[in-house]
Amino acid sequence: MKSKTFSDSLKTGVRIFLWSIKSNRALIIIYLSVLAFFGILNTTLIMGVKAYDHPSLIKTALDFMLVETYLTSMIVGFVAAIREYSYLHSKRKTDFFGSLPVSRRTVFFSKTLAVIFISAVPALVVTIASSIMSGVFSFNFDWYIRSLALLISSAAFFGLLSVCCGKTSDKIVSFFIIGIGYPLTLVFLNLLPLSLLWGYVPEKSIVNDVLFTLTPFRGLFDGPSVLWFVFPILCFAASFALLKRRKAECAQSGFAFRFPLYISKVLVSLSFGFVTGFAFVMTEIFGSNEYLSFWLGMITGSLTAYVIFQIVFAHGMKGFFKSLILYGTTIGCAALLFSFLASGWFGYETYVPGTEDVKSISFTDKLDTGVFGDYIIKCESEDRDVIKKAVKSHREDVAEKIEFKRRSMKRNIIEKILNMNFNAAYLYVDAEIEAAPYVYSVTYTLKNGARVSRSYFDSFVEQPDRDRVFPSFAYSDEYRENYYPLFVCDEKYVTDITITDDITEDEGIIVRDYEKCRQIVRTFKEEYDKYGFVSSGDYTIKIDYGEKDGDDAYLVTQMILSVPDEYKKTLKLVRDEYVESSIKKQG
Amino acid sequence: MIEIKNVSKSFGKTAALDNLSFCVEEGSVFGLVGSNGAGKSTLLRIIGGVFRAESGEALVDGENSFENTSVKNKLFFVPDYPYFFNNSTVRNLAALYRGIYRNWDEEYFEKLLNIFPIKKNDKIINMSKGMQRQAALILALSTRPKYLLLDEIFDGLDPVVRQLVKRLIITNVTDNGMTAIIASHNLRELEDICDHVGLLHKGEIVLEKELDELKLGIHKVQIAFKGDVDEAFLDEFDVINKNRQGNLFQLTIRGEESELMPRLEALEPAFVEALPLTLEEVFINEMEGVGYEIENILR
Repeated sequence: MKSKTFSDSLKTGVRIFLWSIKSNRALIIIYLSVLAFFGILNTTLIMGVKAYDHPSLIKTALDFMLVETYLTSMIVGFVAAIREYSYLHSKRKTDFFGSLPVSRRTVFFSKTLAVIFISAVPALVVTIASSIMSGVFSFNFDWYIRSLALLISSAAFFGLLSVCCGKTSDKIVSFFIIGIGYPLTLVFLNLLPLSLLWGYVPEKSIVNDVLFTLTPFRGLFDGPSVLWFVFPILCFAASFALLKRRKAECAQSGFAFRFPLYISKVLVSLSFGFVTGFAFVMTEIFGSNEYLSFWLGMITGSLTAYVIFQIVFAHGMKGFFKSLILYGTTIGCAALLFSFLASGWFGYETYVPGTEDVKSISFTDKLDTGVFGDYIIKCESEDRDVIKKAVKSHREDVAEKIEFKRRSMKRNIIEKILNMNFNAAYLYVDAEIEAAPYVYSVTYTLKNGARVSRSYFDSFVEQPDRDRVFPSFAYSDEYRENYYPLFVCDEKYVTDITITDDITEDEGIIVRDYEKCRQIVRTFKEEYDKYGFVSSGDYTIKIDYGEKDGDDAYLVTQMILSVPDEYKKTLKLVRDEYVESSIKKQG
Repeated sequence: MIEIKNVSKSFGKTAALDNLSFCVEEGSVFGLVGSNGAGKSTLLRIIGGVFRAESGEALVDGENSFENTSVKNKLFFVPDYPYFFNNSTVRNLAALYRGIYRNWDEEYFEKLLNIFPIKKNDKIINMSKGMQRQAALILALSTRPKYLLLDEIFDGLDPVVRQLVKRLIITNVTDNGMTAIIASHNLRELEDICDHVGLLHKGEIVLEKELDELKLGIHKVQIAFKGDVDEAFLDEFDVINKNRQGNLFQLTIRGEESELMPRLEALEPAFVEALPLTLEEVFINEMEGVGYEIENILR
């Protein structure tokens, strides 16, 4: 018989698990003491706040309790992980565990479970106990799952690094460098085309999704998702695969598997290089020569970080010059990517599909409404004439402006990144939903089903032309009916209406009576059905939409409308209300 | 039986074991001796399943011990610096072993606790080096191992405890058929307890023999002649070491006493005497033979 049965392994695994818990008694006692302190503090706080019967304050107190509890659990988890995985890095512990009649995988798995147990279970118990004691049983399961996912992910990642590294210090440095450097490098790699490619729209892509799923601390960035567990599962699988091949003698003497070292070196070079490179561009350190600024920053930042990192890992300059091959390759790849992007990424910048290939076009723009405020208009058309005009304008603009536009890294960064809805966590811009002023997007849907999207901070179609190209959409009833809150939002969300007299230009009066507000809105819509949007009148109404919470209302959106003279019923309601309120005000 | 078959192991560019082969018979006490860095501890770790050989096999009852829990259940490795948890006492560490080793013998454990002069409920890490080794040995023997691997076990033990340890090992070997491999620089202690000895140097086995055979196979000879004598007579013997002061020769010669003496006496010396070597003298002579620069070291 080569190995023990599963039940034997389970039994010995449980022994190791319980022994690990036992050997962390002191840490658990300290942890529970801290949690108990926070628990009492929070219970008192919540009970005190409860007296005021203010739900938002209770919620804030509960959130505060969760943050401090889970922050403590993360710290404890980190300490426990260092202690438990140290058996892979201490020669004496390696002798001890290596000679026990327990498989390496059983020991590793038991210790990983112990780390998760030590850090997660007391936090859960204290949170529930505190909620029960305070009488506000509002257990935030989402928070707990997030915290648990982070703990599992960190433990799995730390475990994998422990298997790969021979020293605890290397493991800790790799943990932070990869944990922070990886998502940071991903963000910068996404920013690079955004800053260099004119018209580039970083759409949601499967590549980014996959790369982002491999972020060690994904739970920090988005809501509960099964994807949170992809990374830890991969880490566990890798650990299990590598454990048997791991050389026990590497304890205290370097790396068992060198890939964390290589990954760390690449990430540290790229992330520091990008930070300094973009900083040099933004501060215009070399004036208008942005490419030179970027590369000077890139080299300065990456080389400095690399040298420090190399010295830390190698404990000196041993092998430094040989290691520069990796640095050179990394920077070489970055330079290649940069040059491709700066030269237009194989025709990406100049590509405009042929009219005959386009099935439909959609154009997203800021609606310049004046009193209507800022709204995003989205025009879609399958009209051949509209498509033809748009393609022609787009091509002319690309041909004329490309040389000037593409050399504007800083402007691209500011306009696109800072003003657009760039979601750093998801690494794409949802430009169709939200765009800042002066950002225009066009999307061609081709007959073969493909989509071609471009986004510009200066419209490729100047204002007069835009009206000409998209006349029937920019100010169409169709657009209004689909995008104006007046038509989209239910009346029940109207919280108040402000009426202003455009002739006197006073500060206006506010109607808070729900029935009156609803009557004004309903009458306005009835008359819109009858007359459509016509010329503006003497009165303007600002309708606030929001959600009510007791006496409080949380503003969701607003709609500013001029009441046309043709809307006689609405005008009467508005005028009567205005006069009545004005008299009351004066009286 | 433990079979070492062409085992090699290196650490970076340094070869710790180089194509090593020998056998350790069941029920024997095998002394592993050798120079510093010869690979004794590495070999024990390979047999104990801590390290994996890069090539070759270290078979315990025909099976490789690396990641083999049933083989590991039969053996216990006590390293030169045993590890103990911060808060562990002999008793609570026994609780861990009890659940892991199939052959844990609670009665024997209690008996050993009473035999060794050790405090059962004290933290082991606070104990002296010798006490820690005693604790390790109590736990090791209580698992009733078929194979006991001991690395520098006599280090730090007082003479009384050394005798006790030797007695316990011998008792286990004779009563339970246990096999022990003891790596040590303390050749005097090994001489008392081992029946086989393996001499390692630079990762290679220099010799592996029964202790008696080894000791009786090399003799320290003092031979004196009345007049001048030609050293050519030495060519007829397997001389390992020679020291001449006038007509007095101090020689280390390979061979049995019964075979050597008649040949030496045939030379008609004024005086001749052949004494068996101590293990330490065998060690020094053999090491010198394989180029260990003893002269330089001792100088």
